Amino acid sequence: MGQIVLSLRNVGVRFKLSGKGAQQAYNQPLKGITLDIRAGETLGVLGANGAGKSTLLKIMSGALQPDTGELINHGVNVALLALQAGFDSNLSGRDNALFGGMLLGYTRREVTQRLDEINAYAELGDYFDEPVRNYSSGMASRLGFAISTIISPDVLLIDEVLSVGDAHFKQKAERTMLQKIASGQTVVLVSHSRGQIANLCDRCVILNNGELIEGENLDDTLKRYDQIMQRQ
Amino acid sequence: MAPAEAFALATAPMREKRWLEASALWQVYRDQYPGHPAPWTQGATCLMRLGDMSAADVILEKARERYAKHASVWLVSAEWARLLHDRDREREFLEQGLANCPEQWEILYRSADLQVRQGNLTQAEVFNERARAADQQRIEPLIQHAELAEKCEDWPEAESRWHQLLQRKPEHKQAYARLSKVLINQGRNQDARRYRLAGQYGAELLEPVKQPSAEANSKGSAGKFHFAQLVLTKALLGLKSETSRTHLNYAWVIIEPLLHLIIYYMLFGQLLNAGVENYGLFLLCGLVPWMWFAKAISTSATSIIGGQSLMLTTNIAPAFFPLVSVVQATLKQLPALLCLLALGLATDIKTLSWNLLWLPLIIVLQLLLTISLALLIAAIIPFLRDLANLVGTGLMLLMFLSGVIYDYRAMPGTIGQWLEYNPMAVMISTYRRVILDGNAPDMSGLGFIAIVTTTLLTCGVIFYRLQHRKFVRQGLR
Repeated sequence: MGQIVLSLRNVGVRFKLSGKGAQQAYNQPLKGITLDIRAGETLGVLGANGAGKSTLLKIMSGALQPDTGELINHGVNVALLALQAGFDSNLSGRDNALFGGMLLGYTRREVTQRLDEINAYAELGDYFDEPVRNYSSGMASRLGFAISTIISPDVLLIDEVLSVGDAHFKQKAERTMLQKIASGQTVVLVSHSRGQIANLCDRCVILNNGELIEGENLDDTLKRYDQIMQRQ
Repeated sequence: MAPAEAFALATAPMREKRWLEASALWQVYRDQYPGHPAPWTQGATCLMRLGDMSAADVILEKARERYAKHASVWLVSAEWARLLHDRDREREFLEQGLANCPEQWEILYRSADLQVRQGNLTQAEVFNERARAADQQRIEPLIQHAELAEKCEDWPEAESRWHQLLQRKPEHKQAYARLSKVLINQGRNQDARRYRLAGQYGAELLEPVKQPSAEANSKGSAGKFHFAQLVLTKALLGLKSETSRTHLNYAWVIIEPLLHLIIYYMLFGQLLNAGVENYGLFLLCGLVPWMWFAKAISTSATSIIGGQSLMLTTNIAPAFFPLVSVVQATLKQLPALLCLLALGLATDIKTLSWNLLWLPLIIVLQLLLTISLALLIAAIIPFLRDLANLVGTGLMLLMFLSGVIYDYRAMPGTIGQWLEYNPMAVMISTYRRVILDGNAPDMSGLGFIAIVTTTLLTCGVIFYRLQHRKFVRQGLR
């Protein structure tokens, strides 16, 4: 077992509900979550829509501060795989790739050196120098994914992104992600695809109504997930 | 019909498991093609599939007499015995087969298999080794080889044997899965997953991913330099984005403020001359710094709210957004400032003096003042969104209180004195002193601006430090 790199201790998040008809004053996507993430593991997070999966990732990435409990980072850098973050549709694919790459923590020179590589990966050809507003949504997401392939943080958080572009590109994207997983990258993968989690992950937890459920092992957890899904 | 053609005709129904049909055909062929063992062995196989073991036995017995040199006869016979769980006869057939066809790989392989079933693993190893030596192209003995190690629960040995197989046949997908299971038994879950995925998605997954260096990940000065670079890049790209749909592109960055200047200069300086000497240039000295300041403040006010999604996904510092707004406004107004200077030189000889060297310092001071105020306003607005609506009005009021279009010192009574405490009023009068009059700036005024800037900046830094984590939450509301 690897070292613990991220720890969540009794983490709770709540948002005030502003609607007058709301029964409760707060929406509580996470209630007292305690979870350890170890170096090198692929942790799956399963849960129905609105179970708090994405909120959990935002807590892990440090973008969102929990209301109760704490997140302990044992000296690692954590990044959320965010496609098309900060895209400006008036700018060309090249410029967006430059800024996107720098946003991921690379210097201007490093990104400039890799621009052609990004274009080759995204398969945009001459469109790379066209404004992104002229792109189809598939092209934009391809560019977004191509930019994010250059990151390799200590802990990578993935939120249902393995479905970009057409079948061909999707396979390519999947393969790239798998390569990262296979090379021992610590990954937290959020998905509601049970099959994907079963295949890719060493360990899996379920978020249900803001609470964390974990079985003795992966199979046990998946079994419990099936039970929860049937009950609903 | 050639034998091959005829046999193909009979194997086709076998593939579809129509055993009865195939069996009838083989029966015909047994008479038609006497020199071939296939009708006998295949016919027996069909009968065995149909469950008629005794009929198969009759055929096989004849086949063994006629075609003793053919390995297939012995193999099918052994298979027949295996199905009847008659291990003695199975061994007998395999031994006879080996006597007739020495070192035939499949018979050796089956012999090893029989030994495994009888629990003689050492004996099985011997047969397996001979099978592997007999035909090095065959994959089955290699699989058996690895399975033998698994049977002995010798996991490291099993691991190395699967690796041997994969070296020979990298495309053998099942081997990856089997190797993965061996690794799980050794508790090496990560490696196990790698090989399992490699089996599913291709062996190139196993190649190490090249690790790009991320200098910016290291904290400290490198991180700060990167942050500054990021702000500048975003500001430049923002300018590009603003002008991207126009034909003149970047030229608008200069043309737009220049048009402003010309209109004000013509309107107030030439047509509506209020009797003040050189009023056109006087006005521009107020307007140009003011336009820079106002533009920076108004765009940065809601910038943190606008950067919400980016903060959620990339964990970027909130101060990034107002800084980009200020830098972008500065890049846009800097050409106008230079135009102003040129105009001053062209129209008034007093402008040209050594005191112009103060100008860079004054500009930097204004930049710092703008940044400190922009940071503070952008930080407060996410917490009090209603203030965003007051920014425009507040800027208008401040414009009148800063003496942009008149000399505030000419205000009646004590108002002029009070306006001395408005840093922008001091700022603008400093520009006028230097450009219009060719005098050195008033040091006490600059000192006052420096103090205000430092105070605002300190407040801003403390606010950002304390509330750093709360910005995102505010934006979600």
